[in-house]
Amino acid sequence: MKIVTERAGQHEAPQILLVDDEEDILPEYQDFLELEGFESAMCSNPEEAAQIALDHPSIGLVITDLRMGKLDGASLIRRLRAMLPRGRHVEFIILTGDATSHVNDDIAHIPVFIKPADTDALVAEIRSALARTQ
Amino acid sequence: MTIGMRLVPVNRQARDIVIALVLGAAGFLLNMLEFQLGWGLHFIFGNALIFAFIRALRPQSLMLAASVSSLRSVFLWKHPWAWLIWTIEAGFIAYLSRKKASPVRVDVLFWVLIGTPLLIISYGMVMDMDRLSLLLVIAKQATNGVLNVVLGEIIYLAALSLKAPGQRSDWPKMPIESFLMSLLLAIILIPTTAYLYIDAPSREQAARARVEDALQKRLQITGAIVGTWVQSRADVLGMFVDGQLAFSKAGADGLPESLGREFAGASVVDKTGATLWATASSGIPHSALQKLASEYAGSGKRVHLAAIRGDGKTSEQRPVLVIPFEAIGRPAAIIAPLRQGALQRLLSETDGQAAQDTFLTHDFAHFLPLSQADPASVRNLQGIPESVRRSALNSNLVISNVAYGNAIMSDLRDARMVRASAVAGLPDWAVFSVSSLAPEVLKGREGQLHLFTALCTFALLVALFASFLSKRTELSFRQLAQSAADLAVLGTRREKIDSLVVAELNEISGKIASAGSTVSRERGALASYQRRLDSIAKHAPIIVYALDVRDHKKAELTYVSEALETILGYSRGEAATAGWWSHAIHPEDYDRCLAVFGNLQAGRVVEAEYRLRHKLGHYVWVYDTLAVEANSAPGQCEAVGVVIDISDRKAAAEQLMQADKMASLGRMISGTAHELNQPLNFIKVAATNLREHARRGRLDADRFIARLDNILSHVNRASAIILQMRVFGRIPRETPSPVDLKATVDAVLTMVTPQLELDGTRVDTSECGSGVKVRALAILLEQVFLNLILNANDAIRARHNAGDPKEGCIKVSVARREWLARVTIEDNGIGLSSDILPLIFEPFFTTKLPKEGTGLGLSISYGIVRDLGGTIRAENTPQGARFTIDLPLAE
Repeated sequence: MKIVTERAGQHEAPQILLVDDEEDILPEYQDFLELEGFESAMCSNPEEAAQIALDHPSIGLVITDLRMGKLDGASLIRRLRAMLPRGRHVEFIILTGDATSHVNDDIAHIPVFIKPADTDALVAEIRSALARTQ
Repeated sequence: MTIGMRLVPVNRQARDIVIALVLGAAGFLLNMLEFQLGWGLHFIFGNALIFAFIRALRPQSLMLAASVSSLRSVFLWKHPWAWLIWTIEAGFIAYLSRKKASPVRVDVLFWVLIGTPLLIISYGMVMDMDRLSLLLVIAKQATNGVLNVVLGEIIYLAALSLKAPGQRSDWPKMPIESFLMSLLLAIILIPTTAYLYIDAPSREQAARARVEDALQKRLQITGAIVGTWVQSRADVLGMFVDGQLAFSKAGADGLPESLGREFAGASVVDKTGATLWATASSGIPHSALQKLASEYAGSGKRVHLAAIRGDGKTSEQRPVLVIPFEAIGRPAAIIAPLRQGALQRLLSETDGQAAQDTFLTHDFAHFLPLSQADPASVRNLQGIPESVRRSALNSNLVISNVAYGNAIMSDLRDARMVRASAVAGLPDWAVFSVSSLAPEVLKGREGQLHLFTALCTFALLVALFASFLSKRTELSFRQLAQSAADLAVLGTRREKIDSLVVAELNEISGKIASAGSTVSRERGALASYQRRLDSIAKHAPIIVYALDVRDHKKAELTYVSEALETILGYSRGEAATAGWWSHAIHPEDYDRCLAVFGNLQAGRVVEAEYRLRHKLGHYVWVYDTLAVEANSAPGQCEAVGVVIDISDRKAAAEQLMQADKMASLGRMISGTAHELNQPLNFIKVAATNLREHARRGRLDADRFIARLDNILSHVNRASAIILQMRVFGRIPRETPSPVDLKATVDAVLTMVTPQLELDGTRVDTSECGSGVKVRALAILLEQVFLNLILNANDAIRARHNAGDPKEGCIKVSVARREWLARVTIEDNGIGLSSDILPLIFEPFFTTKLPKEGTGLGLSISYGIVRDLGGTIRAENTPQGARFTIDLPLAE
């Protein structure tokens, strides 16, 4: 958590919040997004992720895992959507290792990437999502 | 009898009466041929003919026949008693023998209980027979009666033996008791009777000769004494009278003392009747003197003994000695009457014995007893006609006073033998002697009594012995017959051998014959059955074998079917060699099979699956089941077993198990994939970053190495996940060993946790005790637990899918229960519906959709647990379902 907030603090205007309860991979994700030219914030605790997104209006895209210990990705998406102030729009991308996971109708339109994800497609999707928010 | 039966077939009762009468008449005729056994004893055998029909005639008819036949005794012995007793005897036997009693035994009983008392009453009391004769009559009648029954039985046996087979099958066979008794008694009675018949006349003759001899001697002695005495007294009287006349004495002096003792007096009378000289009155009337003188006076006449009637006081004849005499040139006669008892005195002084029952007779008209005579015997003598009396001079004469009936028995007892002889010098006189036969008869009868008593005793003993023996024999025969009957199949047509006349033997022979035909039929059936069995054993794809069991272990192979060669390649001979089995069995299976087959108890069925080496070298999986049965020999058993080639089944089972594992893998695939995707994702992202950094020339070695280390650690993590899946790749080949159940559960949980986490199912292992070990293959146990846990998870998911969001929980426990290890796996899923509960361990039973399950999991788990000697059962709990596995603890 600490790491995340510090990192969030490092970058003035993070565009992307990445939520995954597997902490090991978060620095790699951040490095990956940075190399692609995106400012990002990392969060390993899905329960705090919504608040971080609310705190940083610059965040236009949340990439989340689905299967997480405390709160699953779908719930996070629904919670964040419910909390967003009027006029603010956040795009979502699901990045999961579970190929069989069932996704409910209300989030069915959200693009899903199966781990290990096709990086080029993922970057393309991030760009188009961010373009939609601006 | 055949004729009689054919002639009168109409009315049974009338026919019987006619038969009885004909039979009685025949018996009567036969009775005419009596057997003389001496001393007046007769055996008659007519009733034997009647007794031959004891089994063929009704009792009344038999009695009638016997009464007709026995009538002969009335004519023979002139009294009805024998007839009465014999008729009763026939009735007694006829009625009692109907109840299967032996006629001989019944007859013996009759003579003991009825015949003897009747004889005592009739012969002894009514006819007043003397004791010896009575005893003899009893013994003789009893012997005769028993002999008749014995002869009857023998005639019946002969009739049974001789009759044409198939005819008269209604004639009952003879029981062994009757057979034995008849035979034993016939052996002793018939020769004895025959001997008596031959011997008796000569004995009787000898006895008569002895009596006659005595008579003759008596006659000679008496004759000589009397003759001599008459001559000497004539001389003495002549001389005395001569002297008296010479002295012209008137005779008043009387006779001298020596003569006076014998003569009452003497007179000399001349031919004219004038008394020339006389002593005092001699008690003879003068007229008689004159008559005698006129008859005997004169020379040339011989001395004469006259018998004259007394002077009126007594009617007795008085002997008078008449001596021709020449008195004073005139022919005269000395007439001297003998004193009373003078002759007797004379004889008793010389030889008393010889004078007994001896008489002097003049012209066979008068009898002068020469001894103290029984008046009755004198009367008897006088009762004999004169002509007969005269014949006594030439031959013996037997006389008898008939006091009771005309029975020869009675005659003989009182019979007397009479003989006469002339007296020297007394031509008109004869000595007449009577001797009783009684002593000889009694002596003979005593001998007979001994003989017949012995015979009766023998008959009694034989009856007892034969009864006893035949009871024993009958029992043995019955057992034999029972054994034979046991051999014969129920309902077999009864075979008969008609020539056997003994009932028991006949019955046994019939049963043995039936048994024989049964056995031969059964043997045929057995042979065909054997052929069929051989054919089945030869063509069936199973090995049938039989072996002896010794010390509860497999011993010699006694039979093995030909399929052995087809299945295992060995010939029968090779398999029969000692130790073949131990060498052919797979070494890994040896100990296990030894435990199964090493303790063979009668009545048990043991089974095992193991591998046997084919003759070509490869192993064949077989199922071997052996039923042990007690042998007839004590302590020994034999066993029949079947060996089935189960290689295909084993292969199929392995494939099924593999299929089940693959199915389990499918059920875990999402969890496993997720688990694997995590490291792969890391590797991909990190590798992508490194490539990008490298492309941009930012080659910071320290950062690179750190990130590569991270990559490698994630590779290891992926490998570890794959390694956990080993259960899916391996086919169990190792041998069972003690396995810690908790460790096994943990291994399984490692595999399934990703999937359970994915499904949000919690696992509770708080009650998993460690150190509980069972002997098993860990990989098989893992398969069981994996199946059960995945099933539990499926049940929970099914509940979730049904809309119940309650957290899923699987509780696994491992515990030790006495001699068992118990593993329970409980879930809070949907539970098992009662209608599928009995089916869940069936192969291919599944409640899942075709893609979701094979239906093999529980069936295979059941098989694995059963093979380990354990049990598995399922039940519903308030929360969901519970599976309980009990396994034997490893020592």
